[in-house]
Amino acid sequence: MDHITLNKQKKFSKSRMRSLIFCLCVIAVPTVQFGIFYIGVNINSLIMAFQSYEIDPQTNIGLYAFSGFDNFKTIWTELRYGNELPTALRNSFVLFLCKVGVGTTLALFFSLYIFKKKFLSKTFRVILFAPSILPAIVTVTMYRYFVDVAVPGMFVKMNGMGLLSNFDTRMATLVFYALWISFGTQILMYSGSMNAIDISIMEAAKLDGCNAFQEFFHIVFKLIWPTFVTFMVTNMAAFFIDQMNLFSFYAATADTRYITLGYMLFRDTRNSNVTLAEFPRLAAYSIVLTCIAAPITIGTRKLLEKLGPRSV
Amino acid sequence: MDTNLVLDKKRRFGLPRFSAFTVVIFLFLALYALSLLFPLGWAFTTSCRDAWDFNVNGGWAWPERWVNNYALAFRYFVVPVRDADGIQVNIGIAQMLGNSVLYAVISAVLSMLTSLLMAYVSARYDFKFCGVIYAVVIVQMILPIVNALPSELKMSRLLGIHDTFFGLWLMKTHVQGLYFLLFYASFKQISKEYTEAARIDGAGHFTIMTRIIFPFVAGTIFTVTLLNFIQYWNDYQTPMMFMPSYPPLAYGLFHFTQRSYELATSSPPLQLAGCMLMAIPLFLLFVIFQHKLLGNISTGGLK
Repeated sequence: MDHITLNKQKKFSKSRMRSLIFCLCVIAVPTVQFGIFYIGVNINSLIMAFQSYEIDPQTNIGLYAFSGFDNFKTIWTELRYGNELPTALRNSFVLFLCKVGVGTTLALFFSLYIFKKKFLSKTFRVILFAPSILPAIVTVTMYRYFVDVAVPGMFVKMNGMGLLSNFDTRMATLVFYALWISFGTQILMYSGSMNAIDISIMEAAKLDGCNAFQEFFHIVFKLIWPTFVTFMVTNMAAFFIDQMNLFSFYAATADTRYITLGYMLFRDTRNSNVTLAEFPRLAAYSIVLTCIAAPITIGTRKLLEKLGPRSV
Repeated sequence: MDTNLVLDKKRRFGLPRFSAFTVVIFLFLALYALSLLFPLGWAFTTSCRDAWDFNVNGGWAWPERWVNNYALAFRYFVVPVRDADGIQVNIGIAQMLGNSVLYAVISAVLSMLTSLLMAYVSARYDFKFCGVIYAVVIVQMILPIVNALPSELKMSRLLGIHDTFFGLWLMKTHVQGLYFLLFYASFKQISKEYTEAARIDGAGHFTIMTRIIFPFVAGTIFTVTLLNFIQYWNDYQTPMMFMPSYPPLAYGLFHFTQRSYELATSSPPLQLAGCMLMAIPLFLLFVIFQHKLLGNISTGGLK
């Protein structure tokens, strides 16, 4: 009897070992990649944040040297007395509010329309997704000339001044563009989640006298809540990296009055990609912003979980 | 009674019933469609106009004569780069096309494979680290590392993979949170009985994975690969930073439209022709695979 049990254990452990070896082989490359390009990169970022780039006068070679909290002091000075950072923060906030308030709301309603297979819903689905497949430069160039050349030609009151050329309307025009091209993935995911809803629930609600608006808020929205939370969390994280397509519009020469955090950081990294001199300051930005972003994102998720109709 | 009759007639003749809420959404959608299609039509017409005609007659005039700006855009589509000896060389459209294919196809497949394999192990096996994989992916999704770009650039230089295709492919071999969740949910839904039955028939782990389980998610695999391909095909910022000597078409287009200081390429009709030229392959891809792209894919929450 004992012999049989031992044999069984041996057999089990052998098969378990085979499973383990298979799993480890499958995840080996992604794990090494994660170790280098996520953990390694972030540790390197942390180290760089406390360094400065100096040229050795004797060898004329650039070196990274420990500089304490100098980079963090620079950021503090830029925040208190500078012009770019506060402006970038404000613009990023405006963009975030518009994307969440207007963009997400419209995406949810559009998805509902597609899910319910209303008039021309298939055509609208294709049209809504179309900007997502085109290169950003194509839509940016088309939009830029349309709002700056074609639109002033339609309205005499504009005196030939384009919406992007006019400083008063530029920000709104850029935000509108960011919203205009943002529906593709959201529509795909939201309508996909809606398709999983049991039709009998909707029919029962309809029999109970539920109108379309009530149906959306009391049934559909509650049932797609987990997908909504996923998008809200990624939106939160995007606050710090969204470039508002400024690099595609203006390359590295966007007016500082309209820049966002994401654009500012990308432009500075790109500008110092040859000399590497600014990398430590940018790494310090990375640390500071990550420290701000992490609790906000986690807090948002926790809050949405509490507010939600069920645990997600 | 009369009202009922009218309603019955409407239903019989298939007239749709719209609530005010639906009508409002329809109007928004119609406006959106118009705002997309109208500029697209305008851009196409303008791309066939003469630069002089455009400057003199304005943005709304019909072309005085139809000009082939496309051939001209094709000719001006060059990006200057420095070779290993520091000498400036011009990269033409054919080489950029090759760079785009190499970057987009291989990166798309690698990114998809990484998410697919990690999700498979995480969802189908019960080792402790399987749960850790899931947790790490979720943490990566909700804990954003802001601006890791300087560190990534320094790291790629340190590893000697800067300005190489291999380096860029290696960087793209990462788990994509949203697609990981998509695959994870699909794998969880597949009954364990399939695996057990295959194991009784003598199938190994690799056979079970590739011949039993993956066919269930073949549609999702194709859609994710296609979405990745489009994303990388259109990406000009990553190659610009990590692979400056091998510009893809997307970077070529960016360079082309930003050369407003050069008289030859600064005219809006020519720039729009360049854009239309680059949009055609993707438009065709979209037309061919729209059912796959717009198929039913959904993702759950961040548990």
